[in-house]
Amino acid sequence: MNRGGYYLGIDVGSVSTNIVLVSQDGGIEKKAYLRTSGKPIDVLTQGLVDFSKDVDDDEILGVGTTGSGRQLASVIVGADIVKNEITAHAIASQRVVPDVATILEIGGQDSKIIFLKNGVVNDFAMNTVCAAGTGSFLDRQAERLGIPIEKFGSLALKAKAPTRIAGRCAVFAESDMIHKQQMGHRTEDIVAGLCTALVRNYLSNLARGREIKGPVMFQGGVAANAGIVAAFEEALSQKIIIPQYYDVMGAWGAALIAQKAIEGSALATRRNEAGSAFRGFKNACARYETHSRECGGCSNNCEVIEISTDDIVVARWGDKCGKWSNVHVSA
Amino acid sequence: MDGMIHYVLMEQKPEVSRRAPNITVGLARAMTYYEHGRLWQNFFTQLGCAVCVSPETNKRILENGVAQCSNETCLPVKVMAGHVLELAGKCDTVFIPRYMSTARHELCCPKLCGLPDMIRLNLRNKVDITEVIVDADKGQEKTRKTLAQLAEKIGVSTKSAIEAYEKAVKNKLNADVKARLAADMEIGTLTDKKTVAVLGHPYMIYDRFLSMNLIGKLKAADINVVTPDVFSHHKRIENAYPYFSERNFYAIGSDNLGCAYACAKRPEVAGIIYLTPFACGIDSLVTEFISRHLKAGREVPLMVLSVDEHTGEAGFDTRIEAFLDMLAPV
Repeated sequence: MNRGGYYLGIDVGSVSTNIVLVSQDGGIEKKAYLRTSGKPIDVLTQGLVDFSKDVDDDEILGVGTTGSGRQLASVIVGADIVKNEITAHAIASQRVVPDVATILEIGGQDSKIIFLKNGVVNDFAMNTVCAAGTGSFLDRQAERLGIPIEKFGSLALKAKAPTRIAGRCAVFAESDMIHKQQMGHRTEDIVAGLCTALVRNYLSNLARGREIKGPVMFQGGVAANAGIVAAFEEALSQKIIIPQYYDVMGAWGAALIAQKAIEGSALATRRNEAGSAFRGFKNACARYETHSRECGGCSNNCEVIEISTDDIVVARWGDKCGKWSNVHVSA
Repeated sequence: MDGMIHYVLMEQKPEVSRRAPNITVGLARAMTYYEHGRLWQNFFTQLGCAVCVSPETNKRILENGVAQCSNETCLPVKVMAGHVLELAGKCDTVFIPRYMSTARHELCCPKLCGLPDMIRLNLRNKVDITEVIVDADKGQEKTRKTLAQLAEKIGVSTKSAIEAYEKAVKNKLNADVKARLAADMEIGTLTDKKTVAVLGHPYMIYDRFLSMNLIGKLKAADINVVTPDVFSHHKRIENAYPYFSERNFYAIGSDNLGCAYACAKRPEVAGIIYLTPFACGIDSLVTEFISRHLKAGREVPLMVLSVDEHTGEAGFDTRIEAFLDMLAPV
């Protein structure tokens, strides 16, 4: 690998944990897309062990974390910036297509739409509690139909007469699909119908009648699904750009934001001694224990999560009042 | 609905007991408390009653309220029920005013018009509830009548109840808007600093639990926060009505609408966050009108944050962070 230092970007999501190593020119040198499988700490540390084979501690100039597990990742790795997914995705997309106007993102359990105007985020929306139309639901349906998820999209493209599926709710969509199967509809038609229904649901829930201007980018794990891509292109009557690193855009954005923050602070030349909060691969890959308990200090009964390594508490969160999370903890 | 109200009122005919006037009256820290709590506190204190106010909303209050209320009930009313339960055993009666209208030609949300009944029905009469009707559009008659009933119930003269009420209204009118809210519920002022307007019902935006401390979080991010209370009611209505030439809107809707329109004219307002409880009928219309109005004029970023009893704080915070990033691009 070329010498000179890298930035680490980490996106801990509900379904996937993504890590990227970004060179100083902003390009991706190495990436990992890992299934979180409900064990974010294990998956993240295993991923980091793999990265430590290619890069040394002192080559890491800065670390950025994002995703729903961004606080957790920040504690483990030692992050310079902790950013929300919306901003991270927008930054990475703009690097690929500087004049991108709309970003569609569908991940494992949530989906987002981001509108940009004159190079800045102008509006955004995220799905609510309901995970209908996200990767998890597609996974489940592929499994039920006995189709590997990787082939789900290409199967949809073979449909000649897509079946109309109710996509408003995942539960109803599933019973509707079962009904259509029993009526004798072909599997590829049902799969294509599902893709169309999910896109319809996404656009009505997130875009809510807003004009979708091009260039449009589509990223997140579901962007690998050719059936969904085709359904978007048809619904929006325009070409959709799928970036090369569609599955790790959040992590890339986090790394780019970290780079900007570190370079902006004029500490870049001083490396880790003062520049980055990075704890080093060895420290980051220690064994972690998590405990959760109800505080009981007041009627809120907050569930407090405690993360420790070698019996030293490194972080606590979950309380509303700050009684636990504000306690000074030594790393 | 009418029939039901009559039925409940008949059934609830207050028993006339000549107790000592210094009984304890419970006030729920929910719904109209955030606007008129001080008025009623003042009223009962004048009559020699002790007043017990429920604590700030917490998880137990929310869970108790949710468990007691029918599923269709809106979140703030569920929380109200939780507060009333919290007061059970701590007071002789819980006072719930029935707000029909607070100004000429204005109507209150139907949930306020039926609040004492909804709480009685959802709590299955577990808690004694006392009410007074406020209907400014129709005049003072109903208020006087219900004040007389209240006076009889708590054992004071009708005259003293009416006098205490008039005095309390006057005291409240004399007090400035800040005084009627708890001291730390700052409503902000419009300054040159980057400002975000937090709109919504007072019982949403000022309830630190329901709002997930939205105002506090914005302040921690060094944002100047203003709420609809930064403008007078008159100013808000004035701003709302050029758009709605007919006065056909619920008062709280006009308040938020007028505030949004007023904010849209102020360049220091960098963004607007509208906090709405899931399933609020009024907000569903008002937020739509606001977003259309903002699109037509100076494009002020607007984010509608919807919360219900299941809302997780992580997703809420992500949206706030992303919204603030949008106002100050990285």
